Amino acid sequence: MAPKRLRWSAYLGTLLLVGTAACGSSDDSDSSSGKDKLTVWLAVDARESWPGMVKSANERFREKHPGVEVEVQYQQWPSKNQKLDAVLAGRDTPDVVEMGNSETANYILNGAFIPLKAESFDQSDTWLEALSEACQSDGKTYCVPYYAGARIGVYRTDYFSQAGVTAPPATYPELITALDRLKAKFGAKDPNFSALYLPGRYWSAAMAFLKDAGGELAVESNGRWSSALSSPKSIAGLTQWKKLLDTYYVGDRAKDNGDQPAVIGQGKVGVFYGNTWEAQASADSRSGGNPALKGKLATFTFPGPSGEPLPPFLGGSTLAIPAKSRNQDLATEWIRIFTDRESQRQLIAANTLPNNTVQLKDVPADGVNGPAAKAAERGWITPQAPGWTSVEKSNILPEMLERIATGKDSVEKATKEADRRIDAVINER
Amino acid sequence: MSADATQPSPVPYQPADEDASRHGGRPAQATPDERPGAGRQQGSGNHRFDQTGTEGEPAQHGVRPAGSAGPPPRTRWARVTRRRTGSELLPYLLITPALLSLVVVLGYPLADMLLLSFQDMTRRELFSGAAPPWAGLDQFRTILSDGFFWEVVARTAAFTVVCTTLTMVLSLSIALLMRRVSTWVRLTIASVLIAVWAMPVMVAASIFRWLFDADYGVINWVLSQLPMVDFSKHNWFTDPWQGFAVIAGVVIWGALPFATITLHAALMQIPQELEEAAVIDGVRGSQMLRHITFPVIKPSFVMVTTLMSIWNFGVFNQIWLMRGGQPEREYYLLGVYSFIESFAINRYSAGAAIAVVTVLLLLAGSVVYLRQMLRMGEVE
Amino acid sequence: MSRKPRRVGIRRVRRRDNVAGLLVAAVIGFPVYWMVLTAFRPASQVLSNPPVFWPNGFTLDNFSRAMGTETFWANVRSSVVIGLGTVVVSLVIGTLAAFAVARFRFAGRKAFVVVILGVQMIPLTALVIPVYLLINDVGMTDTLTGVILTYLVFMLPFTVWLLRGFIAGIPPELEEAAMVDGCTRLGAFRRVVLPLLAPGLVATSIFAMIQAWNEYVLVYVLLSSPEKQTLSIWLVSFQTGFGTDYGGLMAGATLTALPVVVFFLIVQRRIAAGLAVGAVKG
Repeated sequence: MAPKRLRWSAYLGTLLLVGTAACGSSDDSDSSSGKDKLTVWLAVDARESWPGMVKSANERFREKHPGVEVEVQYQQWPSKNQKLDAVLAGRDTPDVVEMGNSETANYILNGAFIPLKAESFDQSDTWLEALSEACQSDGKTYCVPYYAGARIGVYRTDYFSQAGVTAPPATYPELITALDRLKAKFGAKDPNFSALYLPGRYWSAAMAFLKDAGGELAVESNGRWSSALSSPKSIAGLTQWKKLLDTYYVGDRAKDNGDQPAVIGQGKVGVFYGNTWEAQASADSRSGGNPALKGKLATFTFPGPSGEPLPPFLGGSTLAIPAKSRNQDLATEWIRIFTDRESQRQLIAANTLPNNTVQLKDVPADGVNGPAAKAAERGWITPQAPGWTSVEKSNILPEMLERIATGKDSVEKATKEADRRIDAVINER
Repeated sequence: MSADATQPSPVPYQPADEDASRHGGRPAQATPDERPGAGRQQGSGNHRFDQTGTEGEPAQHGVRPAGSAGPPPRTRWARVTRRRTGSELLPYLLITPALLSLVVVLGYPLADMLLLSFQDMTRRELFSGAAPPWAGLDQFRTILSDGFFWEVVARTAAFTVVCTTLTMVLSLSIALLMRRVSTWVRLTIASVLIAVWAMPVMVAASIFRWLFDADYGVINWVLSQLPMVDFSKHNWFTDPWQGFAVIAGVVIWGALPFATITLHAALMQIPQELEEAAVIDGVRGSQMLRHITFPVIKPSFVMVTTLMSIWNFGVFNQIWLMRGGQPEREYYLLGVYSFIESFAINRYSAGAAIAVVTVLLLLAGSVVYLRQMLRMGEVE
Repeated sequence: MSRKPRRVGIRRVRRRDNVAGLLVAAVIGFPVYWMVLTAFRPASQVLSNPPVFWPNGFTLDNFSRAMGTETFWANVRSSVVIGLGTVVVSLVIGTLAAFAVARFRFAGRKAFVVVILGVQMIPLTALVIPVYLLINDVGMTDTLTGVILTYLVFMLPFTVWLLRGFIAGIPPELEEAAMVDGCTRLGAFRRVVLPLLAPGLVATSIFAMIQAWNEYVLVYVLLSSPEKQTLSIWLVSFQTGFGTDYGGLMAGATLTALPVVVFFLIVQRRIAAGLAVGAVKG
């Protein structure tokens, strides 16, 4: 059907000459007008990391609902919401959309998604709080946790043994010792070698230190949110982060971790802080990594200066149903299958953290994701403030961190400025 | 070409009669490639900007102020009038499809944007389709009283002036150079320009980002090879001046193909004999450029300059992509600012208002240009 | 241009100019060279530091990875349909309007010209949502027609602008002569104006083609089915959340740019042909 339609489109385009009106009616697209088609927007991660799970969930859905066609459309993270805004304003919305857990609040507040019966989903009573919290508003549930990711330490096993470090660091002093040894062994020879990869704009790493010191990004009182980056505890955490960065990171401070796989692929990094799948990405040329690193990367729970594991930002995704979807029941049913324990089991197999605490225990402790499952217990999420999406989208945190990392501003000055900017938008819908 | 020959030329250079007759009778070839002389310098007061559509004054045939100096235009005008009586409706029929598609496809979104700037649209209204509350001039008042906005405006204006000037100087130099080199070199330059043009801006931006990368960028490495220079790990974007220099470089680089090819085509209008004669007469290079070359290409030059200014003023892609989709506030120009307000902060109305102000500023800026168009119309 | 230099001095000057010209081409072309070089490099060499400026190691891996993307050929088709559709439609409509503006004096002509100029000043990004809503209202989202229609209006002003110049350059006497000889106006247009306009149409089509081929903001928002996306969207997919696949991206970009360059080369011959016709008429 497709090629014919494509050709027809071209002809119809030419027919515009006759009159634009002719076009609108005659070109009947296969947009979601029928009852038999479900359009699902997933982020590209699913296509790259667990395509098998998507396939099998779709097959199970098809068995139950023969005749319903499921079309999965993969979206890029950075540009997804711009498209979503436009689409939600129109009539033909997708039936299911994947939302990052830091993106949901604003959409829920503005009535973009329908409320769901949480109890009708598998294992909903044990959903990870960091994810389910992102779905709650006024006691109702508007989205379903999909998967989680907790950042952990990743290290080069070969470098560790060459530097004489025998075991992954379990405490903060051990971490410092290991980093010192890496720095002495490799940093002396190679001015481009970073014992710890910690680029300035990598905000979820920096904020983990802030949280570890007992700081907060923002606090709520009487329903109003205010930024808390310049509180004494927050400043203490960021100062720790800056110290670590000054001592062990030699790369560009004005970058984020966007080209992390490439930098690690070049072999210039001993330890980095990231999601488990980023370790895999570093050994995959599709993301700019180096296949020669396969098997040379291992994970550990990153210890924080406080003595506890460094509390990771619990990234993750949820699935929601737009209020304008025409197939809400089928969409609910699809999400039910897509997030049930069988699907979650396959996610775990693909080295991703499940959406619930029960299966979190199924993550093999000695596997690559074991440390992540452990760290996830201390996980945190971004403030559920109405304007938090705006805070993230306007890059206030990365800019603040860049100013600190490059020494343009002191921690105090940069955090004050960021507080001012965040307060301006955090309560806005 | 009788029309051309009958009118006195108001342009600075008026060629000898033999020149006019030699070139005057030849139908103009509109081609960006070489073409024998045609156009104004042939003693034609009449405009024949046969070149790549490079004329700067679209109104020239339509605008003929009453006080126009010089003898009344006879031939073409008479012709036009004659036609007009013949088929009065024809021009309207001809522009109908274009106008219709513009009005239908662009008119509504434009009206929508304008309306939006007088409202206060949040996501709630956007998603539900409910009418957003009326805000009157609030959005504009907020924006115009914000010091940061004017900072962005000044930055945008400066960026536009710098980029446009450099683009025009460089493209004119290259176009002049292309006229003097051997054919194979000219073809090489043309192919390179086309290849540059064909490169999607997304790819161009990622190549430049990579070339200027602090950790593994080629530029830093090359500069560090110079004696006494250490550019390793130098971040070009920490200092907005340097960052904008790089971004301006990308913008100019991307604009060169269009500007150069158009100007080169315009230069083709100048008969080679004329330049040679001038050289024999001892005319110096700068004089030649000022008195012979430039008057001929002026319409094209003005048009390209205008388009460049418009495009540079609204530049978005290069900044957005070079800063990895997260431009710092120091890197905001009007296009980026409007986009961030709309899509990052979800102040759709503020974003629309910024866009409206941008268009107004551009229109104000092009008043000069519109005047120029009228003046050129006068001398037609 | 290709006149024989008459004096030794000129020859020497020409050699100097040639060197300068090649230098300019090298500087401007470096990013293109880097793109092609990277496209053929094995992954391990791509980010080598210090950089290597000549081919070292050769692989087609990047191309096979790029072309192995599930939707590659569908996206190629989509790009071609949208590109050709936009070019053809905007040329036809644009020529008509340009002809009117260049050849007739009519009330509202000036206004039309100002509209044409003004449309180019509107920031595209501000129109994304309104345009989407319009296309959605007429049920043309996720159709190539919708994209062609949208591109059309953004291309049209420039097309009219360029073509008007070309038409103004064709002496009206030729048409008149043809009409005196018994041609209808349409006949005169087809037999006299159109052949002379060919180079102009070709030049304009290059511009429209490049614009349509490389645009990605509108097309990303307007199209949702993966197999309908254009190559420019396909290119974006080489930049994943975890980093950029430079090898694949550059291979993809080389593949994407190739048709445009080929199109230009084909079209160049047409320009030459147009020239020849002109010479005969002259």
